[in-house]
Amino acid sequence: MPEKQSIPDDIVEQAADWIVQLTSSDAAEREQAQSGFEAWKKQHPLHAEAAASLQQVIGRVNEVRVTTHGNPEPAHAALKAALTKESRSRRRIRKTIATLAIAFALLLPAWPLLQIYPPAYLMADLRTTAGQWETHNLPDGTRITLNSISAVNLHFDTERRMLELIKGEILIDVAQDADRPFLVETEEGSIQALGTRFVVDRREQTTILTMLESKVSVQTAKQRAEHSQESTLVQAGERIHITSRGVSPAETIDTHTVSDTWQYRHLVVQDRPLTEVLDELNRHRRGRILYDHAQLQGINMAVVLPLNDTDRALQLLVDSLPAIRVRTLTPYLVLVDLIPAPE
Amino acid sequence: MEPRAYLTTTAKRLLIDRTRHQQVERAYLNELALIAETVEGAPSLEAILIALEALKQLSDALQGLPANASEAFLQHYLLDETQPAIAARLGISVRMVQKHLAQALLHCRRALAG
Repeated sequence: MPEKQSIPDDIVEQAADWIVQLTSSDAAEREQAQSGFEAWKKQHPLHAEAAASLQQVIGRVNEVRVTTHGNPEPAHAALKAALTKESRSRRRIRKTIATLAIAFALLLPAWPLLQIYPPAYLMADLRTTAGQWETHNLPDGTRITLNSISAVNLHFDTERRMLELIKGEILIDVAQDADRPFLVETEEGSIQALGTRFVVDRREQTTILTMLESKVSVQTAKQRAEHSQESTLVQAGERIHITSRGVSPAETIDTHTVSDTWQYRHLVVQDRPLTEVLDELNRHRRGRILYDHAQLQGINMAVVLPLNDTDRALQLLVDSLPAIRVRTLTPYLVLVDLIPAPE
Repeated sequence: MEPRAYLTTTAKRLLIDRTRHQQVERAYLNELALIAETVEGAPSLEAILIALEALKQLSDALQGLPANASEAFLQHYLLDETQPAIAARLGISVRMVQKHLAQALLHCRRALAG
């Protein structure tokens, strides 16, 4: 825009100095800047114009947080990704700021990462990323399988075997050991077993326990903290949700379906909402499947989908539901919606 | 500049821009997927495309700024980090942070207007 270019540099520079002082942490400086800035803007129309053009820049930065309801992390990660390479080549050129550059290199790469992945996830004993699926044989003979984006810590000693589920979903085949009870702990509660097979899924402050064989006793975090003797018995074929409010009533599940999911990495769906199926695929996909919840509500389906190939899973989804379509916008962005009715 | 050299430079520039835009898009959508569980409701496609467009523009605008200036700018205006906190993190004075912020504002204004 030509009129913006026509404001003399020194005026824009003065405006920038004022604007920076407006968000100072020094209260005196801030107040002085507020009154000073107002008076300065009134001195000349170009002053006000210069100020507005700079405030537009800040407005632009604010805009990129709106999509994520104010969470700046995705926008920050994106801009950092675009800047990293540039800063590396500049470092080579300007040796005079080498010391700063080293501090920069040491300090900053860790900073956004810690924001995205909580330290507990990064420092976990065993963890998987999106689309990864791993089985481990523990020293006591117990087998655990980690689903996509999951993290666990192991605390084994002579008294007990404790597995801490930080995030995600695990299938556990507990090896018998009469002397050392096997415990799965999450923030919501504890699950104690003596040789059994079950799945624990932790998402959004909820721990979901699905019993495949035998039984376990469950304590909420509150009971655990109070060293209570109370617990809830959960049997094979039952599923419960543990939250801060307590343990939900058990619902009945088909143990074969759940076992098959883990054995063959297939999602077996019998009369489940399409939206839930898409959520499940999202967990296994690098990138994002987008859909409008309201539009796809009420569509139920029965299908078997491969979880290790979400592209194929999406194709199978379209094949079994002629009313929907899948559009790939970028390798990371897939849109699922209803085919519009013909005019 | 002779036409051939000019074209080569332009082509290189465009390639770099394209790679950078892809990096922006990839990083943004990856993080979006990671925080999806904590954000209420999936953002609409339009909202995501608008954010991506704005981010690509901003990533262009920030090119050529010293690393400390772009870092201070993002920390302050995007992450709402205070000026003294940024000074401590970068190991520089608050005055210097303010200088970087002013420099970044001027730089981005020029880039976004052009």
